Amino acid sequence: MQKKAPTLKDVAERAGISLRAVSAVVNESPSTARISAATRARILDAMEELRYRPDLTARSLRLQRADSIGFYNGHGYIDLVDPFAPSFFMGMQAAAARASSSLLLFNGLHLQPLDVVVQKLVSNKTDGVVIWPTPSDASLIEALGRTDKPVIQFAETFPGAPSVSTDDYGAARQLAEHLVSLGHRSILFRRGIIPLASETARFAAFQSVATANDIRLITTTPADRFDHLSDQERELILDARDITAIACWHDASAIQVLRFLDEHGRSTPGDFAVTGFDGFDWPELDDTRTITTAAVDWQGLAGMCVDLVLQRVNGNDIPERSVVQPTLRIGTTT
Amino acid sequence: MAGVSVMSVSRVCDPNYGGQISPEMRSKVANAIETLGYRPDYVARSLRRGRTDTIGFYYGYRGLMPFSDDFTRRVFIGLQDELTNLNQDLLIYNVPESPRLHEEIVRDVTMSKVDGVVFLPEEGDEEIARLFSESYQNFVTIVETMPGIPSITAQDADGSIRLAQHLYERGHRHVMYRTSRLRLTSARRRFDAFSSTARELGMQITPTTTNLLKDDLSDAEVETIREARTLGITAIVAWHDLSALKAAIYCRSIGIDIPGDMAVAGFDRLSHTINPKGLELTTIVADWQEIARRGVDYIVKGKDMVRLEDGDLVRDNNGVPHIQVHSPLFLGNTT
Repeated sequence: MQKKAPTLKDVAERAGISLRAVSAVVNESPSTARISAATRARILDAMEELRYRPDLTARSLRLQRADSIGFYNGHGYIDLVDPFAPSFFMGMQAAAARASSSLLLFNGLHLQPLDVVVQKLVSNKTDGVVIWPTPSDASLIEALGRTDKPVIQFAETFPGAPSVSTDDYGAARQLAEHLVSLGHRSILFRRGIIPLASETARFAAFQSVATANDIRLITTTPADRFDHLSDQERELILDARDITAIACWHDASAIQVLRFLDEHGRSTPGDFAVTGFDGFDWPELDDTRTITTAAVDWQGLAGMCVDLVLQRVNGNDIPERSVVQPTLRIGTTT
Repeated sequence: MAGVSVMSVSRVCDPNYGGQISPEMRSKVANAIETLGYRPDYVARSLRRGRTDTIGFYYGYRGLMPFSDDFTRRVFIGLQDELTNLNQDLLIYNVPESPRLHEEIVRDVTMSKVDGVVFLPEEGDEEIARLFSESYQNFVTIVETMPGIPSITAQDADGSIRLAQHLYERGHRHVMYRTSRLRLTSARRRFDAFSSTARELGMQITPTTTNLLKDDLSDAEVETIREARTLGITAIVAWHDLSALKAAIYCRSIGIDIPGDMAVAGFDRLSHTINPKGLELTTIVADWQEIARRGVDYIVKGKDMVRLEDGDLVRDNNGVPHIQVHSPLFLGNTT
């Protein structure tokens, strides 16, 4: 179903002018100075008549610029069930647009062997790549780091490539200390299904604060990646005698807890204090109910990834680790 | 370097190669690639193969795609599903902050970095669409139709006919129809089909226009609803669900019972945060996910390979195919 596009040769034939002169005009090469206005007009007319468009695939081969930024997602699938993906997408789109660059989303690569993924990511389909890695991408980051392709990690900090992330540890410490200052002595920490560096750092911060203050920290994992409560968690919360706070590794997890507490007639913060991490606007929440959380500008952070990759593309040095500070936001749940 | 044939190396480097490659072969080649710092030239490769395995997505420069409302979310999920199935990448054209010349946009989009472009048009895209259709790039529109470009849409007309028949069977003889303020081909098809069917059945139609873009009620519409009993209007139909919901919410706020005093129906079955608890709109189900999937399918497999089961194929006067994905009536509790 491919239509046959006119070539430079067709334009030259139509205009009755040498291929070399036509090529010079089309590619705006410096040698066009020697081409007369009349000849140029004939070429432009022929281009217009044939509706000739320069083949930019061939051109980008010569110019070595794709004018697009790639996005690789180690999770394989971009879930749009919570506000996280829409928010980083907006950030990347906006930053790419500012730089007149398109966004190329790589699909299905997480199922391919490592060497194939590396080849595809370093290929000249893009000028640089933003990587959203999972722990199984550690060797990918390392391999990419050995190439000269401009790459950057979003939200995670595996060794080998620069990253833009948030201060997971510091902000989680603040949340933990906030709970301690309110007198909570026994805290349930809901981890994530995937041990992302961000998730692990937030958990480590709670552990450290708990140890320092002689707080009991109980750890659970949800039933699935959508953070639904496991049977064990349901029981634990409903039978809780001493647990007075539930700290969740991110907001989506806290939202599930709030839903569960509502369903079972438990109050916040009366029965349980609840904290999250992210600071999104959730449809479940309104002015009368806000989560205590560490608010991260994910949109800005994703935009920063694109900006920094473009800096690298332009030959500038960029910091190995860029860290964006979250804002502690005390809501009505603590 | 690896001591294996060029053919074997080429196979290892080609993600689309379907045959068997032994793990030893793969690691031999991978080691040599690593040592030499070899990097396959995908752009050169795509020049030779005539394929880039990349699909473009152009959505009418309507600003950044939010991916957060139910419509764009479903479109994106559909695109992503089929791209993953077919091992294709997606190029989302950048959306500049200031409006650009059509020529510039067309140059960007028609350049041959992709195998084809899925085009989600918006109001006012007719001129761009004309330039697209005259170019040598392959296009398919989704949701909306544009002259000269193949399209994949919902059954806007057939769905609306089903809705008119349903309301007729429920005894409604005078319907207020909320049209769109946007000049969209989908909205036009829905209104035309609904009103012609309704008239054939002997029903009366009072078309109204919403206030601005958010489908809020205009003063004239408020007036019409308040006078509904006198006018004999017993049902409100809107070109899409959001508009139907706004009407339903207003009716309830002034004590009009739904569906007792007034039936309400929409089109698309998208979920909206303003949807009052317990209210399930009677509507036509538009499967945007499937429509987006088939847009990708169309570009990758060509028009002959598009799955036609559970949908209709119509060709216009110039032989351009328009595929309509089955859009059934959903009976909620509002009619």
